[in-house]
Amino acid sequence: MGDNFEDLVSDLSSFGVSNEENCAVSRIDLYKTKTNKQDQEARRTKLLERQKNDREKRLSALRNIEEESDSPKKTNPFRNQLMLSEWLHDRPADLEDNWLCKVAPVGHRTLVVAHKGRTESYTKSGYRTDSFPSLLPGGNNTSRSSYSLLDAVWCEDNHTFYVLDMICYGGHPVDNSEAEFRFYWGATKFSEDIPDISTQQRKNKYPMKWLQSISCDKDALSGLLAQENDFKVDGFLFYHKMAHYSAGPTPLVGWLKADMLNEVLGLDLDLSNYLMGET
Amino acid sequence: MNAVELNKVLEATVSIDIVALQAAQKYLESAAATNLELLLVELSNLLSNAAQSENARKAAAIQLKNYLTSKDESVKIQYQQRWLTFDANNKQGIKNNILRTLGTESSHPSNAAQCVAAIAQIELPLNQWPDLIQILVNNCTTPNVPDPLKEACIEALGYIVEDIEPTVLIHQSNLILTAIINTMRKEEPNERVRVAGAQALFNALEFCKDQFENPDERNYIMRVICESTQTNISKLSVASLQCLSKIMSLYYKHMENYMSQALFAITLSALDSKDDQVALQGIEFWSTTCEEETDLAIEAQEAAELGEPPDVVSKHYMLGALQYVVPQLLKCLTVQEEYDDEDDWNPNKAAGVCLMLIAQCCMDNVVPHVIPFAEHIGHADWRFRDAAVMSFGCIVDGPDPKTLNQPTWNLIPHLVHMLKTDSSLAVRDTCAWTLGRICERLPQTILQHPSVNDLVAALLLSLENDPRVATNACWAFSSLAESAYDAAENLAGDNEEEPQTYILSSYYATIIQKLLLTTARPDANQNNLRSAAYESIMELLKSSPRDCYAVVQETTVTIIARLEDLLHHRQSSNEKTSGGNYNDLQSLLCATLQCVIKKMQQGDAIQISDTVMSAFLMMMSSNEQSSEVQEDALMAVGTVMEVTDKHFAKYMDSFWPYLVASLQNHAEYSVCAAAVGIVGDMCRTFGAEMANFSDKLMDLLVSALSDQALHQSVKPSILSTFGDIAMAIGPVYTKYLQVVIHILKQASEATVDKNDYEMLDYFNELREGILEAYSGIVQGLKGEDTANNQLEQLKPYLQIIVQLIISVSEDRDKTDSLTCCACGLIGDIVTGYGVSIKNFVQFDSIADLLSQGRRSRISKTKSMAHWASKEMKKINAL
Repeated sequence: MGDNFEDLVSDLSSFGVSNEENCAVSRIDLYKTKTNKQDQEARRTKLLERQKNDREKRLSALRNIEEESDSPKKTNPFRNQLMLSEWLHDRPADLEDNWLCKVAPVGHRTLVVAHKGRTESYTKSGYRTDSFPSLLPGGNNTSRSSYSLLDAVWCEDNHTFYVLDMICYGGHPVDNSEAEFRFYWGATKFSEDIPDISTQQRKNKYPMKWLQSISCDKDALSGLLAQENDFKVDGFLFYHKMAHYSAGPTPLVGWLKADMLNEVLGLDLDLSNYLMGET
Repeated sequence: MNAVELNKVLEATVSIDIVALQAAQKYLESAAATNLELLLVELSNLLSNAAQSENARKAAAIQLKNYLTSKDESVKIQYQQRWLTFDANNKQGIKNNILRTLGTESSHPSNAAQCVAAIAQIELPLNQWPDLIQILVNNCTTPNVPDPLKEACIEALGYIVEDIEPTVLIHQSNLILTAIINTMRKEEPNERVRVAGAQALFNALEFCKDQFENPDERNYIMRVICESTQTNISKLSVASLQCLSKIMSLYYKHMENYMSQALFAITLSALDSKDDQVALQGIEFWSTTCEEETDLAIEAQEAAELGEPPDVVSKHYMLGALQYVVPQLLKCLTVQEEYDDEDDWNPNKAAGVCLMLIAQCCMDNVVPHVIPFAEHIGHADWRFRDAAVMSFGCIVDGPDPKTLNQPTWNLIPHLVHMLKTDSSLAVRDTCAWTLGRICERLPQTILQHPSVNDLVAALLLSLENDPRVATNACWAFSSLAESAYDAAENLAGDNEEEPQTYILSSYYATIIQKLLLTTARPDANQNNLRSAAYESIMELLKSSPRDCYAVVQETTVTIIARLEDLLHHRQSSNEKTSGGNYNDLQSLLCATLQCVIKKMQQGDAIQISDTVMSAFLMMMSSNEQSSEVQEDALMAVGTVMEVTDKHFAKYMDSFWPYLVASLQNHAEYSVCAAAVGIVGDMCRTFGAEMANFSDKLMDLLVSALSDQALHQSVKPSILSTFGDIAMAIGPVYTKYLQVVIHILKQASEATVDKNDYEMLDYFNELREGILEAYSGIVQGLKGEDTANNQLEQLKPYLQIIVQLIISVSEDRDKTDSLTCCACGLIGDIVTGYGVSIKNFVQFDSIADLLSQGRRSRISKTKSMAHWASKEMKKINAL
C-alpha cells in the first residue's frame, strides 16, 4: 500500500517543471567528494577489466606470443618459471591427508624443455645450460612436433636429471592439474611410455629419473628415510595434493632439511642415515 | 462522463485522502481504457473552462500531459504514435482548447503550456501544426497582449525548444529567439514576463548557434542578457546569470570581448551578492568556466600529440580571475550553516566545489592564493578553522604534489590534532575529509611524516565519533591503506609477489577490528557509515601485505558468519535492517567475501569454498532479491571460480540453474551482464569440458542478443564470449558456426551517428566484441591438433571478415584497443591459413592498419602489430 501511494503521487506529480536546480543537483555530488574504490560500480569495472585481461592472456597463449611488457628489453620465457618452495614452519593440520612428500637430491634446480627435436636445460633464471637429445616427446629428432616441460634437479656427479614435477607432457599441459594427478601421470609416463629414459643412450644423452612421491603418514616417511638413494639427499619437499603448478614461491610447497623433520612435524623418525652422513 | 463528475474526480487526484485518490485514479484508468480519445477531449474541455475550479483544471492538464508524453523514452514514443491515430477533429479540438487555456490559469508556471509543448513535439516534426509557432510568437510580440497570455506563450516556447530536435525549427529559430529576447528587455514592464523570457532563453540557447556566429546578433543577445542581470528582481537576475553560464560552455570561443567588458564585472558582483541564489549563480559561472578550460587544456594536449591545432583555444580566464575570485570563495567558506542538511545547496558548499575545480584547472597557480588563508587553522572562531581546513582540502587534487609537499607537511600535525580534539563537529568532519584526500593524493608526504602514527590513532578514535566524521575516517583508512600498499610494492621493486610488510602492519588487526565494530554501530545507517566501513574493510583486505594474512583469515570467518547469520535469521540479526538496508548489507558482505577469497592462498580458499558457495547460492535463490544483490553474488561466484579453478566443477550442478536464470534476466541487464562474464570465466576454467554446457549457453546468449529489450551495453561482451567458447571447445565449435557468423555479420553492419559520442563509444565496443569473437573462432577452429583443424569451414566467410578489418582500418574514430584487436585478428588469420590466403589480405588498408598499430603509444598494441606484421612477412616471402 505504501509503495502504491508513492507511485501514485509520483505519477501525478511527474510534471517536472523547474530547470532552475539542474546545475546545483549535479554539483552537490562534488562537495566533500570521496573517490569510491569499492562500490558496486567500481567492483564491476574491475571485474570487467580482469575478464578482458584473462581473455587477452588466453589469446596470447594460443598465438604463441609473449605477454606484452612495457620494458623494451625482451623477456626471457624460461626465466622464473619454476615452482619454488617455502620453509615449512609448522606442521600442516592436514599433513597426513592432503600432503605428499618427495626427497630432493643435492644438485641444480633445472627447467627441462623438450621441443623441436631438442632438449634444453635452463637454470631458474632462464640461462640455458645444455642442449641434447632425450626420449621426452619433442626432445629428439624423431619426435619434433610435440613438446614437454619438466621440473628437475641436475646432479653433476652422475650426470642425471632427477625429475620433481611435470609441467607439460607430449603437448598436453598439466600445470593446471593438481599435484597428486601430475605425480601419478609423471610416474606412469616415465615407467610405461618411455621406460628407457632412465638410461643413457644415443637418443637419450642423460638418464632422467622420476622421483616417487609418498603420502605423509609416519610409516611412509620412515620408509622413505630408510630407502637407499643413488644421490646425496638435500632435503624434503612437501606438496599440497591440490596445488597447481605455479611459477615462483608458493606456500603449497614446503621445504625441510632432514634434521628438522622431527621437530617441525612432531614425529620421532629414525634419522640416523642422514645425520651421520652430515658428519 | 459529465463535466461535474470529471471535476470531482480530478479534484480527488490532488487530494491527500488515499482512498479518494485511488478511486479517482481507477476511474480515470477505466475511462482511458474505454475511450481514451473521448477522455482527452473532455479533459481539454474542462481545462479550457475558466469557470471550473483551479485544482480540477490543473489536474486535467496533468492528466492530459501524462497521456501525451512520458519520461520513459519507449513509452513516450508509444504515446506519440497513439496520438497520431486519433481523429483529426478531436485532435484539433484538444489543441484549440489548450491554446485557449493559455493566459487563463492562475497558477504558474502554466500547465497548459506544457501540454502545448507535448503535442508540438509530436506534430511539428510532421508539419502538422504549422501555425503554432507563429501564434505563440505573435502573442509575445504584439503590443497590448494581456500579460498572463504573453507569459504562458513564452513558457510554451521555452518548453518546445527544450525538447525538440533543433533541425525541426531551423527556419523559425530567428523568429522564436526574437520573441523571447523581446520579452526580456528592460522596456518590458511586467516582471513575470521578463523572468519567463529569461527562463525560456536558457532552453533556447542551443538553438542559437547561427545567431552566435553573427557578431551583430550576438552583441544584441549578450547585451539584453547582461542588462537583465542588473536588476533587483532576484529571479530575473538568477535566470540571466544561468544563461551566461550556459553560454560560457556552449559558446566559449565567442566570449573574449564580453569577458573583459562585462561578464567579469557582472559575475564578480554576483559572487558578492547578499542574495544566496544570485551568489550561487556567480559561483556557478566560474565553476563552468573552470570545467570548460580544463577540457580545453586536455583537448589542446591531444591536438598537440596529433600535430594539429586545437579547434578552440583556452583564453585562461580563470587564471586571470584567480586573484579576484578566490578571495570571494574563501569568504563564502566562512559562512557555514549552523546545522547543515546534507541535501542543502548553498554558496558555502558551492564555493568549496568551485575551489576544487579551480585547483584542477589552474593547478600550481592556485596554491599561493589559498595557503595564507589555510594557515588560519588555529583561529578562535570555528567557522574560520573549518574554512581554513576546507580551503586546503579543496586544492589537494590538481597542483603538483611537489608544490604541495611543504605546506602539507606543515599542516598535517595540526590537522591530526584538530581531528582528535576540536570542539566543533564541522571542523572534525572537514579535517577527516582533508586528511583522507591527503592520504589519497599526496601519499609521499603522509607516509614519510612522523605524525603518521598519530594519524592512525586519531582516525581510530574518529571511528567512534559522529557518523559524519566516522564515514570520512573510514574513507581516509581506505586511501591510507592503498597508498601504503603501493609504496611497499614500489619498494619491493619489480618482484611480483605481495610485499612482506607495510607501514600499517602493526595496526592492521586493530584497524580491521574497529572497522568491523563500526559496521555494527546502531547509527551506522546515517551518512552511509555502514557502507563506508565495509568498503574500507574491503580496501584494507585487498591492499594487505603478507604479514597481515592471519587477520585476513580471521576476517573471512567473521564475514562468513555474518552473512550466514543474515541469511538465516533475517529478523533477529543484530544489525537492525530492513528492506533496502537488508539488500545493501547482503551486497556489502558478499563483496567483502569476494575480496578475501581473492586474497586467500589457493589451499585456504578451497577449504572455505563450500561454505562460501552455499551462502552465495542461497542469496541467489531468494526470489525477492534485488538486482544489485544478484549481481554481487554473481561477481563473487566468478571470483570463487577464478581462485578455485577446476575445483569449481563440483559446484556446477547447483550453480547452473541460477546461471541460466541470470542469462535470461534481460530486464535487469546488470545481472545478465555479470552472468555473461561468468560464461567467459567458465570457458577459461574448464577448457574443452565446456562442451558439456555450450549448447544451452549458446542458445541463451543468442536469444539475449536478439532481444531488442536487452540493454545494448551487454551485447558487445556477448559477442566476445562467442569467441571464448570457441577457444575453449575447439573444432567442435563448427556446429555453431553458421549462426554465429550470421550474427557477427549483422552486428558489423551497424552504423551510428558519429556526432553522438556515447553512441560512438558503443559502436567501438561493439566492433571490439566482433573482432574478439572472430579471433576466438579462428584460434578455436584451428585447434591444438593439426589433424582436426576445422579452419576450412570458416574459409567461405573470410572475405566478410577481411571487409570488416578494412572498414575498421579506414575508420578515423577507432580506438587504440580496436586497432589492437584488428591487428590480432590479422595475425590469427595469417598464421591460421598460411600462404593459401595470401591474396585475401593484400590490401593497402590492412598494411595501413598494421603500420598504425606499430606506431601506437600503447605497448600492447605495438607488440600485437609487430607480431602480425612479422607473420604477414612470412607468408609474403613464400
